[in-house]
Amino acid sequence: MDTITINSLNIGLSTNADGNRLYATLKPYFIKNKVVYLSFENTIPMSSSFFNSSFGELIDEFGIDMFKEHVIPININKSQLDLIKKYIGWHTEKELC
Amino acid sequence: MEFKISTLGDYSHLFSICREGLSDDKKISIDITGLNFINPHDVLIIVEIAIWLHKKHSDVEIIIKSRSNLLDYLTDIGLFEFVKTNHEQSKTIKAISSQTAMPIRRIDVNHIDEYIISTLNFIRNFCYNADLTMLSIGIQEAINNVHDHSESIIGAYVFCQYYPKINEIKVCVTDMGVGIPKRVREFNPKLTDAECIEWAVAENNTTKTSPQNSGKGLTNISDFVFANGSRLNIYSNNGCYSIINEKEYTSNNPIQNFFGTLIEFTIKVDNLHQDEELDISNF
Repeated sequence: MDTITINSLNIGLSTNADGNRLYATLKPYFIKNKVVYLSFENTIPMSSSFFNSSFGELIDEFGIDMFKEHVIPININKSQLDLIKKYIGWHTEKELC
Repeated sequence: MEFKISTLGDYSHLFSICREGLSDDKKISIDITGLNFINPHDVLIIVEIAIWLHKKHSDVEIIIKSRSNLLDYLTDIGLFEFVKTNHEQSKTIKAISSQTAMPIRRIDVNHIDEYIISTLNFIRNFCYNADLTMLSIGIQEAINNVHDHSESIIGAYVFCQYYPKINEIKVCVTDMGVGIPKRVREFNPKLTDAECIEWAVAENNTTKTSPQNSGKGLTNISDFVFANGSRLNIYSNNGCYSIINEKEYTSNNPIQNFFGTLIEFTIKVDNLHQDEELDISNF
């Protein structure tokens, strides 16, 4: 199983533009139906803008269940994980409205 | 022309000049001797006014009389250098250990992460293993908002100060753009300026200035402030929105003629959780 280390992608975790780049990096795994470990080692927390352009776009395109099955977070702080779960909750609530 | 500042309201005259311009006298002196306590918002208001007036070809001088501690503090954090005409900030970000502060910094979207990493590394010296997500997210969301919505011609400025005696961090981000009310009124023309800020903070409200906006930036900041039991002030145009002791307040901006947006929040370090790393998890 592949591992992508966010830190090695040379992107930040704050802007829409950087989020787009993570989206582009992860999308092939969804198309090929492959699971990927995503390492958050030495990263700062993810902004809501970055989430929208990365995970948010993947969730919109492939669905929340497929997203959770294909992207496995590793080396992540509990606070970062809780923040992303909050964003996922916001995002999926928005879709239901 | 000389302006004496001792309260927030005293900045009104300076913002009036920023709006209307100067006719003859191109030298402005800002006497801050009367300020009992310099908050991060004071630092950044002075910086952004000076930079705005420099763009209008005015000279700005900061005056402090007989207060050597204040003079030393403002010298150490770089205020006098920052307000000089044609000041160029250093390419490297260096914390100011003597004053437990991060330097005044103009931040664009391409340098948010660099600033945050430096700030987190510095603050961790005082808040070992504390979860500093709130500090990071507050700055990220505020700067993104400036970039996405404000059209600020002078960009965004940030200043962070740690207060060791009370174990609190104060963070301020400011711009001199169009202001939250102008954007929100494109959707809700009948709201007052303060109501516009309150609308913008509420979950899921967005002016969609950029296609991927989802209205979570200010909500994210306010959620953290509520959870931390701390304080938030947002001044934008004529409005003011605050969270104090887990209650929200709206009012007129005490700084008349203010334009742009200023966000200042406090982090109570004693109320932060300890962070923990997980090897593997799931969303």
